[in-house]
Amino acid sequence: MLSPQLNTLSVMIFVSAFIITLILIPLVKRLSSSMGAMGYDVHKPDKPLIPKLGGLAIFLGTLTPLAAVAFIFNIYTTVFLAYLLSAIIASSIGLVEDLRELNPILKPLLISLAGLPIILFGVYSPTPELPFIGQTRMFLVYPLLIIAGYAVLSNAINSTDVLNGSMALMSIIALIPLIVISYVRGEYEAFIISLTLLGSLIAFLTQNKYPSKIFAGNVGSLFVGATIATIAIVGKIEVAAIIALMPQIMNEFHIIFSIGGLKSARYLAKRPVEVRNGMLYASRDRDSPVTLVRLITAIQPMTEPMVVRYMAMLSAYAAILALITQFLLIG
Amino acid sequence: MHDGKSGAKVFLLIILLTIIWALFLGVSVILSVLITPPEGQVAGDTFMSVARVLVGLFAFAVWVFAWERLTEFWLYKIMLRVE
Repeated sequence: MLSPQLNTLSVMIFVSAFIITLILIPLVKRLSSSMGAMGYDVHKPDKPLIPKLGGLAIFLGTLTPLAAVAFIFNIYTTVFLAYLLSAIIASSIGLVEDLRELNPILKPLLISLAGLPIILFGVYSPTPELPFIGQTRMFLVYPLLIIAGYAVLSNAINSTDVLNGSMALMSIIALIPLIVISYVRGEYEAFIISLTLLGSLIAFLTQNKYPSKIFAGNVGSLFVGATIATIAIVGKIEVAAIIALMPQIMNEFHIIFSIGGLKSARYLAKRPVEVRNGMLYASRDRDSPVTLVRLITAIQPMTEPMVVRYMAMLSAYAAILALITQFLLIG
Repeated sequence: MHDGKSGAKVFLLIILLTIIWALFLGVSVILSVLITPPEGQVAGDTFMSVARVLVGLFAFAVWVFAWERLTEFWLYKIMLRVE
């Protein structure tokens, strides 16, 4: 458990992240407009143009309070530096993707570089715990898994940023079990990073929920993915993170499997859902990509906010499974 | 929010997620049986270490493959009932 001072500090950085993000959102909107970084909200009848660099507010809103904690109080500096570099790499790739499209094969390779600072600074433990097995020893393989983990998790989070508020809300829910587990296990670095990201995402969601006034963009979703990967590795809660992010990972893998590899969604011949009169209908075409939104709209045609509510419900269920899985760990 | 039929389909999605989670636990159980427990392993046994990693990666790949096939079956045969 955390000391009373660290408890106070946690509350302070959570609130700081929330306020900083809220303050930055209007500035980021203006910056996006001036840079021409705008995206169409394709599920609305009039397809409005929305600023799409909102992720910069999440990035700065999360990192500013963490920087203050690390450098003013001189704690967690190594972990923070590794995380800072990792976050900068992931966000920069996202920013480039937002301004000019990257090659879909090159993108995951570049994102995997975000795992390098964690390896180089040595802020990981190559002994992950698995259910029924306990602590394993993966001294040679673990660094490779870190590299792969950043690519998988960042792309998984990125793949759910398809509807107003979907990425932010699902990430908030996935963070809850990670916060609980890292708090109970006394993994302070992971706890503080998760709490800061949570504060920032809640603030962002106020403007990103339906109808969105700002999008997170690739800069935001890749940053969130890299941050959750860091939380999982630094906090030694890899399995809980995988289970909590099952809906996101499911979405990513099914898109890759069903379109036969890494391809840009922009050039897909068949869409997973059709939009008619503000309602989303699941495509019945077998050549359409299998996505989480398509699975949910297969329940019944529904509005965009309803789909997001179902995505949140599945995330909440995965979060419960993550907590149960953590209890099944031995050792 | 939804009628009885849709409610059942929501439940089906929850079941799908549960099966995938159970499969993950199943893979873990299989690995715990197939692989010598780490605490019983002699340090420096490189062959056993490599074999364990390969079996682990293979089991993980099987899980992802089963997950993919199951979801496709679930979507087309159960949720959408496409022939």
